[in-house]
Amino acid sequence: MFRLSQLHQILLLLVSVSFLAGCIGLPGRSQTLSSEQKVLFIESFDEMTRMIEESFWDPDYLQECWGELKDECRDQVEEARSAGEARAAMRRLLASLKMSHFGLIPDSASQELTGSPSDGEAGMILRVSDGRAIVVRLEEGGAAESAGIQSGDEILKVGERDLAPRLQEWSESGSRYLPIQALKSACSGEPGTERDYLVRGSTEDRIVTLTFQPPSDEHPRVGFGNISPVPLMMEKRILEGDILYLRLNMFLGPMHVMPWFEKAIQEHKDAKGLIFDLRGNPGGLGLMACGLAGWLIEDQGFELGTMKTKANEMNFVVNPRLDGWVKPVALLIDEGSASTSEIMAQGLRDIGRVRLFGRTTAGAALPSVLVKLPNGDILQYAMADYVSVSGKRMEGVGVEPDEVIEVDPEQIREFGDPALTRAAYWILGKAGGPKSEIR
Amino acid sequence: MKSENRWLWIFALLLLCGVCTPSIAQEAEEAAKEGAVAEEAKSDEAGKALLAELQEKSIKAVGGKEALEKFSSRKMSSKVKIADAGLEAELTLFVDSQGNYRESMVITGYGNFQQGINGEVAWSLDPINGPRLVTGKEKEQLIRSARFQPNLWLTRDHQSATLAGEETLGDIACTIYDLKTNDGAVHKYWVANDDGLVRKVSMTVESPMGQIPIQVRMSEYKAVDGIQYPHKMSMKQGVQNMEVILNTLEHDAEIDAEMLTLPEQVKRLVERSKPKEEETAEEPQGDSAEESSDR
Repeated sequence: MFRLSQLHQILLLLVSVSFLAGCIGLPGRSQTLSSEQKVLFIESFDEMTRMIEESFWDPDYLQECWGELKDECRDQVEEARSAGEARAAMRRLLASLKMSHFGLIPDSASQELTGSPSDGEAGMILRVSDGRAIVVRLEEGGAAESAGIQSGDEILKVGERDLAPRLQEWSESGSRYLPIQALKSACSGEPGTERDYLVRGSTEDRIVTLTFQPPSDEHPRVGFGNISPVPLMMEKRILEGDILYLRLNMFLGPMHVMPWFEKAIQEHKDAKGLIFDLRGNPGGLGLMACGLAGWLIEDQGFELGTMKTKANEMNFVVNPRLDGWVKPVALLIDEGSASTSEIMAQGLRDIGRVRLFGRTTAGAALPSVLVKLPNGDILQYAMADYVSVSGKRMEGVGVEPDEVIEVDPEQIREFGDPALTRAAYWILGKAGGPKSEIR
Repeated sequence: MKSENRWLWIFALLLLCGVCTPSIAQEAEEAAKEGAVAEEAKSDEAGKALLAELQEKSIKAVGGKEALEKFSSRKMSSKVKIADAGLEAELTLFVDSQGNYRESMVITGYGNFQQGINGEVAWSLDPINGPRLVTGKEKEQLIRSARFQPNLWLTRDHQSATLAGEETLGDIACTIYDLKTNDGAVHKYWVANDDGLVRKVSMTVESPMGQIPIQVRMSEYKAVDGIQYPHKMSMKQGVQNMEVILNTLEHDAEIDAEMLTLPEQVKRLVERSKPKEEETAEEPQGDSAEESSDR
């Protein structure tokens, strides 16, 4: 009479992403809106509110947040003179929910945000410590390393801008993720262009000029639906003491990531342990957390957590793989680990399969979808709440590590990467090493 | 003594009442049960009769029993689109009357997501989760979905049908039926009053992730070799809308032998899981010998 393909469900599930697309800080366009454009913005506003109202899992909370504000914001869109003003009104309504994964990516900016031309890199990763921007990692052969910047150095100025007041402003926002995104922007630009950085080393302050390098051709570019392709970075190393180290910059591109992960653990199954680095990983396809976790567990019936939509609940079930990894696993996390990274970390910790090292994650773990609005902008909206198997809701809270390793320039200078070193010591059963606070 | 006797008598009376009371209740309950069983039997009978009637109507609507039994396999290819999310996939399917089934969905950049039934083995294989043996309710559902001609299986795959109302979809007046599957799930079918074709289905499907409610609208029915197939299906699951457009459909087409063999990764899984399966002694999925030759 009727047959329903089971595979259709997979596509529908794939569409849900736990990816912090980064919808902040982008200036709206200031051109005056034509009457046709205004109509498109009003339609987009109505479409946005309709979709969220249809899917939001807690209608009472939605009503509490939106109440009369919805009409007020709609009026603002109607009265907007520019696209920037119209978007500001839409963002105001989204922000009133005080949740991650509700954002608007302007049509023109979505390219800039996720792909060229601003995907040139300085080759350094910054994190905040006591109101200071500290270099915590240098990419091998990157512009920063070549220019003599060292891990543990402090960045005082980007171009002509002092970082301290901005760091203060970002920390006041209460979001752990905001400084991560902002500092990432500070370390990226158009390939081939230059930017000055005022750097404080262990002995002196100096100005370093960096030329942004395009992402290596070794990194495949992967996209997802409406999001433009971005460079996928997969790093594999064998650390001293025969420990397998894997790093992944996002949960996208399963055709690249899954075989890479499988090959790495099969080739090094005699290694003493695995360190999987999810620091700075903003998430991606939730299903990939299940897929990767499948290599790390042996038994059936394990779930990472539950996605609670308005209509039903869906479990992030893990399918154990044949010949998976049975040795110890350490996960490295920090305030830049969001969404799918958090789902994976908390889920595997709940069953005691991993030990977490680093700092509390972003606290942005809601499954979401990305859809194109009539005006061409992309709306990201969460369509489900998420709780781990132990019942922990990570949104706004994050995943706490088992061993906290703060950003400490002295420790960084001594150990290079204290969290990584600490995790290696744990796998090898060694005493000493970097300072950590055990939770 | 008299008073003692009196108390004994009252005690005996209470005792009797104590015994009698549940006995009366039990009798009443049994009478009610009998009534309910009789009612249930009557409604079961009515449900089965309606199901048989619906099967007959559906077979006639799609082209008749002769047309449905004329072929022994079907190959289809479709385009799947989730326009809102900017995603597309190519779906191919093979199914035959012997119960072999293979479905493959290739999503650009994500790989090939496959599912199949080979003999007693129901399986799935995808680039994210790897190989998996499909069991339990999910397997029953997969077997139902993989019928070569599901219209011929309506009375065998379901317990009963009940009328659940009427609704006009667009300009098509439909009767709504609740069909109860053999495993107890209730699926809603909207059947057009004029031509008897199914226009909408609402069901909760079993998946490894749990139960997923889904609605499907069927349209653009066209006959291929005298059998009506919907050439467009629009699905809604939560906030997601998906469209499936049928591109090609062939009966008794030549197929690659690979279609009928288990993928290597699934074979390994079957080998490994044999002792476990023997321990749990999985029940047969309602496929008796006489049924197995006509899926």
